[in-house]
Amino acid sequence: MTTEDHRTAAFRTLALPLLDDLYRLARGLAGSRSAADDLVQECFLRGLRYFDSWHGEDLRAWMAAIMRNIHRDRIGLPNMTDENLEYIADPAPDPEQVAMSDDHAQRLRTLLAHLPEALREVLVLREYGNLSYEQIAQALAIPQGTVMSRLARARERLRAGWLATHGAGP
Amino acid sequence: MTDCTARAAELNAWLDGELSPGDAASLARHVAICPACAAHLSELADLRARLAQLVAPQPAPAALRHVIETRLTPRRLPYQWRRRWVWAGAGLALAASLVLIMFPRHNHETKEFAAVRAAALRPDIAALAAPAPPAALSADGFRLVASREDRVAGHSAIVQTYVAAGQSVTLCIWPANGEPAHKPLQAHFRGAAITYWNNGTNEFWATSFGATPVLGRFVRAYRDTP
Repeated sequence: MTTEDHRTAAFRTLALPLLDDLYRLARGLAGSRSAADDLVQECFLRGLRYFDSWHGEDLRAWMAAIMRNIHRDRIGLPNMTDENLEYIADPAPDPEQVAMSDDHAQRLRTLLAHLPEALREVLVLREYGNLSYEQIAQALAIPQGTVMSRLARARERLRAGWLATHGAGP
Repeated sequence: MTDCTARAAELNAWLDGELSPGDAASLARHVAICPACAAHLSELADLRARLAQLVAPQPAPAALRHVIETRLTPRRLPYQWRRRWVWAGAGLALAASLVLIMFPRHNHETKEFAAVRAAALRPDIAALAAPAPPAALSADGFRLVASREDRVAGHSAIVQTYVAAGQSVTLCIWPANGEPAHKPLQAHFRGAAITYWNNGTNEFWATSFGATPVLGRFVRAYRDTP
């Protein structure tokens, strides 16, 4: 086998077991199944292409970072994590718009979609990517403390948004 | 009295299994005697359960797994393979023609080969067979010289290059996806002319390098209109 073949085989051995989790992460990031399929394919393609730059760090975090950057490219956001979240206006959904959704799942989806992306992506990585705080910190190149605070804020906004339309906890 | 608003991050960390056993035990003792934190914890747990349902854990679809596994199969390329391009004229589906592209043994071969295989296997491209160039086109002097799959403005598209008398026209084709049919419209972008139309099945976007009359001629010939 060539060096190329060895590299491909190594990547396959290490990355393929992550496929199911990466697929769920892709659905959480992208929303639609076809967009998720696309995201997963592109992620593995780039992972193989850049495998020479992988130096033994946590592969799950490494692949999640690739997928998150592809996603950010596609939605037109820079890959640099937003520093000053305090100054990002909260595009809060209109409570009537949320209430009009015909079921609880759709309401939650709407609230989730309205989170600032810097908060949303931490939540998606945690809830759907099966990543620990440390892995999220690695994937986003931010301190673990920032991961914790953004996650708490994301969940708090969802909780508050839910209360605004339901008058009781989710 | 403990300030329980400061405990929010801790409650989240506990739910995520990120607290040390000592911190977890300490928090558990607090929650047992603090109704506010107990309620907050309960709400967070319910929220997480609903979030988990929104994107239920499922294995990757078999088709997707197959594509990935195929791409990650090391290829043993024999020494004698030469580079050959297959033109997508004569109505061949682009997917079929891409499969026939072979590369010599250079450093970049694996990633390009993988990209080509991935492009050929992508269901949306496989479904969009490149429409055969209309006969009127060659009658009008336009020759299809190249065809490829590419992403254009977020669409998986087929990009074709036609030449005639030293001018070239690039035609991008992607599925209409419900966009309504319309006759050719003209736009200008940074001095270049772009003509675009939709036949109900596909969107067509043509642009030329050189004089605008070439583009007009091309569009008329392609649509087989006088």
